[in-house]
Amino acid sequence: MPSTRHPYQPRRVPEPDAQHPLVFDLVHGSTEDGPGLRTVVFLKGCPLRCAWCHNPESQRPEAQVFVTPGPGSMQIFEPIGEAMSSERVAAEIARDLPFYQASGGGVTFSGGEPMMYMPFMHAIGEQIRAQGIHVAVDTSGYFDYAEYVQLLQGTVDLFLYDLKIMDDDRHRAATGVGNARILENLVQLKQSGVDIQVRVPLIPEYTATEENLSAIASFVRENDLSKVSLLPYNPSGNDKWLKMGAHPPVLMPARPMDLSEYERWGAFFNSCF
Amino acid sequence: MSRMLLAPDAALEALSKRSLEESPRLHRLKTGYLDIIERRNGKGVEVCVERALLITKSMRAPENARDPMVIRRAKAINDYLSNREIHFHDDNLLAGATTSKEMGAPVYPEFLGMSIWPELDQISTRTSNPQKLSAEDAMALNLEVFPYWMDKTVLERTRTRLTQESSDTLLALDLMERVSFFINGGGAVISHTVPYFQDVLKHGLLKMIDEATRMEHAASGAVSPDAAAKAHFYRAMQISMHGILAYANNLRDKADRLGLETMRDVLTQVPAHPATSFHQAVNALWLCHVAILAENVNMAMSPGRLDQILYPYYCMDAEKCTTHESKQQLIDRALELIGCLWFKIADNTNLVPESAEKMFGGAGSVPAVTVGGIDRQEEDAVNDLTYLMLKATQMLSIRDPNVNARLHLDKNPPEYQEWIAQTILKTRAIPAVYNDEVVIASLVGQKIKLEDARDYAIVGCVEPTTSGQSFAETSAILLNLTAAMDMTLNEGNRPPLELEGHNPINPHFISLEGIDTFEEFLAAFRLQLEFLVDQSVSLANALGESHRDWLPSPLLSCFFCGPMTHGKDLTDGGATYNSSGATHVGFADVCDSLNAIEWLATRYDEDEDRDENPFEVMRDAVAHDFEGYEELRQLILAQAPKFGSLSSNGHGNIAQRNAQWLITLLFDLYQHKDNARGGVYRPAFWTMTNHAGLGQVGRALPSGRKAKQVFSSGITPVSQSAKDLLAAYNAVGGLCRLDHEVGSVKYPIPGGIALNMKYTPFFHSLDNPHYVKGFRDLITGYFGAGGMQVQFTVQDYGTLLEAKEHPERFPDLIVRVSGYSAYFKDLNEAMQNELITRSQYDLFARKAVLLNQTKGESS
Amino acid sequence: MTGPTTAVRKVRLGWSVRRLIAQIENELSDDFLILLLDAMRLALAIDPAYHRNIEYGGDVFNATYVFKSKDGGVKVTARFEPVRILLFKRQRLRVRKGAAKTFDVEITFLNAKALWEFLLAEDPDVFAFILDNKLQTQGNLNYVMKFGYMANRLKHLTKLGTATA
Ligand code: SF4
Repeated sequence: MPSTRHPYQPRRVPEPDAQHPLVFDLVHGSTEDGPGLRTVVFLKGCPLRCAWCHNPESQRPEAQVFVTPGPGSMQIFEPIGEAMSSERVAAEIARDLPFYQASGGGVTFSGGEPMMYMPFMHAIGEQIRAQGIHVAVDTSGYFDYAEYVQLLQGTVDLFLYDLKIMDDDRHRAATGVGNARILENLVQLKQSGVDIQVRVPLIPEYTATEENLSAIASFVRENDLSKVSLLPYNPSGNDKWLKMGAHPPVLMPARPMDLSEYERWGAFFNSCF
Repeated sequence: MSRMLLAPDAALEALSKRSLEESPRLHRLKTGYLDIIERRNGKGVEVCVERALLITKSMRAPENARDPMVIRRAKAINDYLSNREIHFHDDNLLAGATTSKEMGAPVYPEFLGMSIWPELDQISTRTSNPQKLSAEDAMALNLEVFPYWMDKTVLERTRTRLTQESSDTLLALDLMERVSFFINGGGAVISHTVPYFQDVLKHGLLKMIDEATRMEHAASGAVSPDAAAKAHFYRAMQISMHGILAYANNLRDKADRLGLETMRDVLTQVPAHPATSFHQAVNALWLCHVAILAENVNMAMSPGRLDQILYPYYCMDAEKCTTHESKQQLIDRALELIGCLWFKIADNTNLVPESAEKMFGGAGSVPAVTVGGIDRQEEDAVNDLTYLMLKATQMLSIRDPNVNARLHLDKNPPEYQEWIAQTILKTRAIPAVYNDEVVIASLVGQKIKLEDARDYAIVGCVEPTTSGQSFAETSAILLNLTAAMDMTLNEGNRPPLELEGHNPINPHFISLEGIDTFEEFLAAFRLQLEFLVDQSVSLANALGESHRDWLPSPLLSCFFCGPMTHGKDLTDGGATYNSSGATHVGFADVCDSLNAIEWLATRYDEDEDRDENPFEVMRDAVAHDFEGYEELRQLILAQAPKFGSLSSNGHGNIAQRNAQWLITLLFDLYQHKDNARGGVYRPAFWTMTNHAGLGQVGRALPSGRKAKQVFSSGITPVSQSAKDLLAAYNAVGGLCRLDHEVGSVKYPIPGGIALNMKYTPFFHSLDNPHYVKGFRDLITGYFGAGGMQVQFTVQDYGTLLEAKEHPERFPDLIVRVSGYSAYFKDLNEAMQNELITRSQYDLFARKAVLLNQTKGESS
Repeated sequence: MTGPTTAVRKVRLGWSVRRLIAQIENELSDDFLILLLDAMRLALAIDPAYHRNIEYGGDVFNATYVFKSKDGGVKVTARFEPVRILLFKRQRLRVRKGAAKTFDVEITFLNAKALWEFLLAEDPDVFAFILDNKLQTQGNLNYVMKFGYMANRLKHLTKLGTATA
């Protein structure tokens, strides 16, 4: 091309709200977030501030940018968060229908905290309902139950529900919010009959303590929550804070949890039942 | 259909655990086979001149000269079969061999055999794929065989006729001889079909000869203009079949002399009489296959659905088994016989001159075997033999036969899916998998009766046709789509090529200066594509007429539905169904070129400061191989929509729309073209190794591909461009079954596709249920999305790079070119590079592992 | 097969090819192609084994080849034809300047340089030549194949000759 002008202009990202969240990632064919092959829609924004958060770029609802050094003194900018209409997301989800059918998969809304955007999920749900696509929501449990009943009940097939710390004060210290609402919502969801998979992230010194895990075990038992899984700690947050030009609020261990430690906690947890 | 002796799950489980070492005979045969392909212990592939010598002698004989051609051909084949040398090179249970060598390349001077003429003195010692030829045999070809055929090959007969008629088709011939526009398979082969073996197994050759005799008498008595021709044809059928009997008798006598009693007894019964056991049926089928290769080139002559054809005979044996022990023995024996048949089918290869290595290097004779799927009544057709054949394929892990597994998602049992996945993961490449629903619907769209469509088998690489009924000539046309792109950008010309008296090559073109919109560009492209389709069809038809006049196939006609009833040779339209195939090179490259052009046109449209014509900008960039346009090239690579990426940047739909446009256009163009036998052309997308060969000499493309790079294979997205595995599967599936318009479903690729997928191997994959399940789910999901076919190479970049550098370390590494399987070491460099750079997908992440990423990691 | 007399003949053949190579390095014209064809003519005349390529059993090889360059720099006709010597008919090769109107095959090079490149390359890439428009043929390709074999043999013979010399 004769001139060096860029024939393309960067998009402007609008301010998000409950109907119009930003999507910071959209993954096709995941097997990590629920049964079968799944499309995972990552929505930006979270009311919690977990010290170990492995997706710190998901915490604030508005657009942000990762900056990494490029060749020489150049910098590479990578925008985080893209405005997508519910129609577009629904089309992305519907695309993989044959693969959901082949594998027993579906869509998972994750974040951040997707339950901040129930109207948006509701709009998508309306569009994919006819195809019978299995819907999962990956949540911290910190959401408005009444709004859920009004907008989403009956649409969601499965909750991937994080349980972190049973002690309310410690929960507040580690995540910025108390756990009362979270536990309350979980009990109500259970009673409503929806499928729930409880997930406990194993964070050394925060959640992975004998005291906390046995407390979780008794809560789970009391409420008859049959499906529980433990997730090993994965230190991807530190780097991302740096790429956003900030320091991690708390410096977390740099190494992922090794298999033997993970299995030790698993054995301990099982022994609580 | 269901499992019989393998009905208990334990029996199937036990079979899955069998190893090659437990079958000493197969183990020995495999060692011998490896000696040949690895050229150990003085062994190797040999050129076999026996066929060429005997057939030429018969054709030269003055006493035959006045016979009609169909009878001359039959006599020649009979002479060859009756006078062949008889050898038993090893302890294979089956009698009969394609050539007189352990692994031989037969010479077919009627077609392209003479292309090795200049190399007769070097073919034994050349570095790539040497084929041994004694000085004496070379001299026999030079002095006795080739001189006779110089003016009598299909191509030269066609040239002579076209010249006499001053036909317009001479332009097409000129274009074909420029190699890079299109290639018509008719000059090289007729074959590419699936014969019908049921009659010879059920009735025996003697009955079939009786029938032909009766028909000859009936025809002779009739008063119709074609009565004489019919009588000649029936006569030729008898002569051909007597040749097979003579060959079988000679084999029997030799077996008798050597004290091979079982073999002698088998040959006493078949192929003259009906088969009464599995062993007899397998040997009868093999002898007929050998005879067919005596007449027709050993290229893509495909035995078909062997698990169905042979099943009644397996059942005859099984019914006699009462004890557990005898059942077990039968299973062992059947597995051994299938293994023996696999080695027999692999006993021959093609004669490849060095000059053709670039285009066709590494090809075997691609005999396709098909297993599984449903039967004519839409019932599950998977049976004991299906599993035994998959097992033999796993145990032997050799290139030929080209095994294909049909899969019906609703009818076939889950354990069969599991077996397919296991077999692919064990062999790293075999079988290719076909979606019954989409294939059958595609064939029904070709006016094939539903029952017949359900009985489809694969020909050669990937082409589905109804077994024994469809003379499908699937290699009639191989068209380079990028030539049409070149011609669009160059006003109907293709620099630097010049054709005397044809400037521009296509008189109809739209000049880029006059083009304002992408739609107009599409119209300009369409003009060029139409021209090439017209040209290639006219030459394919001319070659078809030459087949009919000069190379009738009375022997193959005996093993087909139609000729006996119609009294017409296959080459004359005697079969029940008569189609031709047209396949295409550079599909994804042309799609991405259209995408890039549309993308650029849109950018320029949106930008008021730009008043250049984007189409001319693109032309200039391509003409300069992007020198001085590197920035544009990088932007195209990064931002223009790509075929196989449906989502994320919102451009995906553009890519899919353009791909659908091209697929639909080709479908409409070919479906209105008649071939020489009263059928139509079926578009297909498989490329063998031609995408590498043609790419290597191709000029730059608007897609950002620079000159001399390989093209994408078959219908596969351009390497390293489709990063999301599910998107790639969806994109291809959405072309095989077009349902973008509500209420109208169309199957626009009846000729077949080859979708190449490369997966990162997972070394404990066989013990890892997640890997096997993931593997299976992806196939099923892709089929649900409309996908017709998929084939795998389970290898990573590193291994293939190492295999290129140290071929001796990986002598039997099998990979998938576009269609058949090949030994990596046999491929030319361009094709090896294509395999290395082909996108490798991580099955767990369902994402492409990009080549430069791994390079960075390993260094 | 190779008696002493044949060996002597091969020496002479080797000599003529060496002269030929010296020539083509200096100029690119009809003459050098004619020289090459002359070597073939000579070999056919004096080497009985080689002669079989044009006369064997009942077969005689009659054919006309035209070699030319697009730029008109080269125009040569090579004709395999019978000649009558007293009562005998014998096949021979006749080479002459100019292009015959009728031929079995016509081989056209883009220019003399392309022809030179093609003939001197150790392993000429036919595809590349065709695609770069440097080489095209008209007529029966099998005649090109046969000629390729004979030229190849000739190379062989003369190499042997050079070694003996
Ligand atoms: S709930 Fe999840 S996304 Fe939100 S802060 Fe905690 S770890 Fe991060």
